[in-house]
Amino acid sequence: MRTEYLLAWLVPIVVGGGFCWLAGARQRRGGEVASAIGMGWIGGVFIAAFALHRFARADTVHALANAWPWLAALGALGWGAGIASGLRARSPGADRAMPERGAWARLLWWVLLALILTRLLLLADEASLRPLFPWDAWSAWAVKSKTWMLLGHAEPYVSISRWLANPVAPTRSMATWNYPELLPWLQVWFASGAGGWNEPLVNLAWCGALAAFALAAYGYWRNFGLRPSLAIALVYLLVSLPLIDAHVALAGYADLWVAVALGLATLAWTRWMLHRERGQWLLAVAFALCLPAIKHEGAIWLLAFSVVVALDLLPSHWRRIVAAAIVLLIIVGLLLGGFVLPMLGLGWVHVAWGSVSIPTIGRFDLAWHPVGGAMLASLFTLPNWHLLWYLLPLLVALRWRALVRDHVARMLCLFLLLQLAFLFVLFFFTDAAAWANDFTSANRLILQIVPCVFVFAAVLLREGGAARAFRSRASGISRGLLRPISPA
Amino acid sequence: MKRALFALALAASWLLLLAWAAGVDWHSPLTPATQRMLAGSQFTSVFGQGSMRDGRLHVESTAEDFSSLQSVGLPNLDAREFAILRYRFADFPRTLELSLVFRTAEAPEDVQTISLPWPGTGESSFDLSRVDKWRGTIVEIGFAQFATGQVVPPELGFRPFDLVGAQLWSPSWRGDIGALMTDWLGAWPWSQRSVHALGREGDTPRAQSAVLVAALAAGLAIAWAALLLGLRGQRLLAATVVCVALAWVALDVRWQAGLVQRLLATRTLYAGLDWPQRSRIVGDSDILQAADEVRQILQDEPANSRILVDAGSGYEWLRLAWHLLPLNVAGYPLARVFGASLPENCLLVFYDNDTWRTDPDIRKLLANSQRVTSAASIHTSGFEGGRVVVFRFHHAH
Repeated sequence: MRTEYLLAWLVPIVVGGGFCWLAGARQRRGGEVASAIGMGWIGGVFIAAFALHRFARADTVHALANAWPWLAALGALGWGAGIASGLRARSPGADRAMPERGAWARLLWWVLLALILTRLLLLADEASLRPLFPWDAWSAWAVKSKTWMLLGHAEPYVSISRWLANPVAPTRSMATWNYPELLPWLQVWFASGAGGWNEPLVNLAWCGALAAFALAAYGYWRNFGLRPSLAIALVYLLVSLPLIDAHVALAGYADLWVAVALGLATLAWTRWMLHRERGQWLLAVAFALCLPAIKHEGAIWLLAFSVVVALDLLPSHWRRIVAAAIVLLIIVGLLLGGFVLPMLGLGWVHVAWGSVSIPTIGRFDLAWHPVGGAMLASLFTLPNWHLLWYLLPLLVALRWRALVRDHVARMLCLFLLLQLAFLFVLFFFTDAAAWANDFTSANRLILQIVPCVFVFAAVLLREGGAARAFRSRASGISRGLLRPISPA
Repeated sequence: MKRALFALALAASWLLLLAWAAGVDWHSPLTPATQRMLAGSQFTSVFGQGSMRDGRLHVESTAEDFSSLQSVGLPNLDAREFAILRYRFADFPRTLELSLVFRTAEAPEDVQTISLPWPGTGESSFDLSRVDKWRGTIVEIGFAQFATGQVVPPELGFRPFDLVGAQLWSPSWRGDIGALMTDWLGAWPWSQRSVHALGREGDTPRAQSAVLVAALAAGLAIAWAALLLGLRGQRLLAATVVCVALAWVALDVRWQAGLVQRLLATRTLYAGLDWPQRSRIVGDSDILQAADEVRQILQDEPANSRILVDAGSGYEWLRLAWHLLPLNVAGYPLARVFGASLPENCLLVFYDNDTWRTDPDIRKLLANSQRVTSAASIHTSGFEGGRVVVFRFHHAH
């Protein structure tokens, strides 16, 4: 294996891990190393992709060789600051993570770890063998990266009319010329490490994304107060989901990256709500801001995320008033013929009664489409999600009291409801209903919110002590951003 | 006593659930009343070549299009009477897709095709009563094989195998449950739909959902535990967790077994090869060869020449554009709205598509254009020959 390819995997841990370690420096509770490495790897890959987008356009083949020393130095700064900050803030024994009890639980932990590793190795084996396979991967997502790697430099993609109008300009075109470019640059990062365009070695990054998210989620769930066996059980449930596995084995689609970025933003935001660590709030915002740079619908998730984050920052007595005012404004806006909404990555979206116009995508006419049967089949009968969608309502029913009393669970529930509302409008009121009826994009969009479902489940499953500890300090939420509540 | 009653109720309800999932007719016998046995040696090779060996049909080679078909005539078999197909192959390669073909006396020209899961080494079953066209009088059945679509290059799919035999059974519990097991546990290959919705890879009518049955089985166990064992509170919760966990693990073992089967198929094609070799092994090897041909034709063109590709389908032109990278290529269907406003000297590539001579608009567009041929060839193989045709676009003067 080339040293550069190894660096392509290790440098992101150094870069992103440093910042994640810094973000959790004030209050270490357990699971910190796992969450810093897991979240750090994904964050580091995003940072590397942004850096390449900015600095490597002239030489894509040597992009990694030119960028890694700078990125590693940046990461070293993060680690240094994190360690120094941790030494200053350390309060030994405070709020340690819930330990494991009993030999059976420890045995279960090891069995589940073995199952997770087996699954990841199986998926990595498949991904490392085959050329790029799924349709959108070779027709959209990897076109730019393959071109840029084979050319040795990056040429901009423009609309077909511009491409034809100026035949001597060094430009390119395709149907999806305006898709966000974080993912192509991420592919350039790994291809550059591999020494050229090598699809299996690029595709392995998808397996890395799942493994890193699993590690990060485990660390965060330990931090939330889950016992090790329960945290790893949730990780196993997530990693075992067939559609997620299919997206790793047949790597190339953007949905998994949207899912992990959204999931990491939700994990960090949840930790912020629980422990009021400013660094976590910043991490959450950083990952949420990456969403529109990965895929267009990331802008929708960013909007939903912004709404719940803003509501959380408000004093509790203002929340309902502001939420009601937002709903009222939307109704009035619709009655007055529509309103515009600025959305990062999508532009000024015009929402009217009966239509939504998105500059980068087009106009969606709103009308009822009866796709309930297809959606129910996707969720409850096809082998995409095992028993996930049966278990979610069961869990909510069993932990209803925790949901009603726990501010964090309520905010996560609101976030999920906003996501589901978007999917409901998209599939039941727009022509995207065809994607549900023919079983194409519907499940991929659901995949994007699945990590959030698991974060919500983890919060519901926290033991009573952890939930009570938080509830006692949950009122007057907004003050937390300015005055973090110290543990104990 | 309570525990025995619980075990009895659980076993009975699960059996009924399984029978429901298998579509068992309650009046049917446990074993089939009538069977038609078709030894492999009774089949004849329609496409490809085969020979008899120990009562089996040894299929040795394919037809020119890399497909093979073995069939047997049936003397007026009533479709309703024989709804379960059982079949067995030996050494069936993982790189081939298997289909059942049949014809009826009512529509002898209408050949029906149903995709079947990879047969493996044991006996497999399929419930034909789920197939709408399995009606009337069946006069011929057969098995067709071809390289797994979009996954395996047609020329690499085939390896010799044996058709051991097939059976047609009248409805029975055993036959229906056997068909359910094949449906749930059979190995299906990856397809383009696998990243959208698993379990919908082909048009084959599928059995009742294993996910739904697992959920109902877990629900029944929890309900009986509450009703007959009197579990409440924490104990019922613990029972619920155990039941759900077992159901999840059962589904996951099934999924992981499918993943292993797919991985073994992938390994058959790619293991032990380096990336340059693997990059040449693609399901659309014909389009890859066409891309090589286009490169050959355009080798002396300026690097930044605008190239527009067209083909018989969206899949074909998108794949051709992909294989042609890093040439400056885009799809002609995207540019068609601009009519003749194309740049002078841009190149139009037609793959497996004769619109350049049959479509009046395109003929008009190309009226002043010049056919481009490979520098290595003296003549093209006839004006209408070749799967790749390239024009250099010129405006009317």
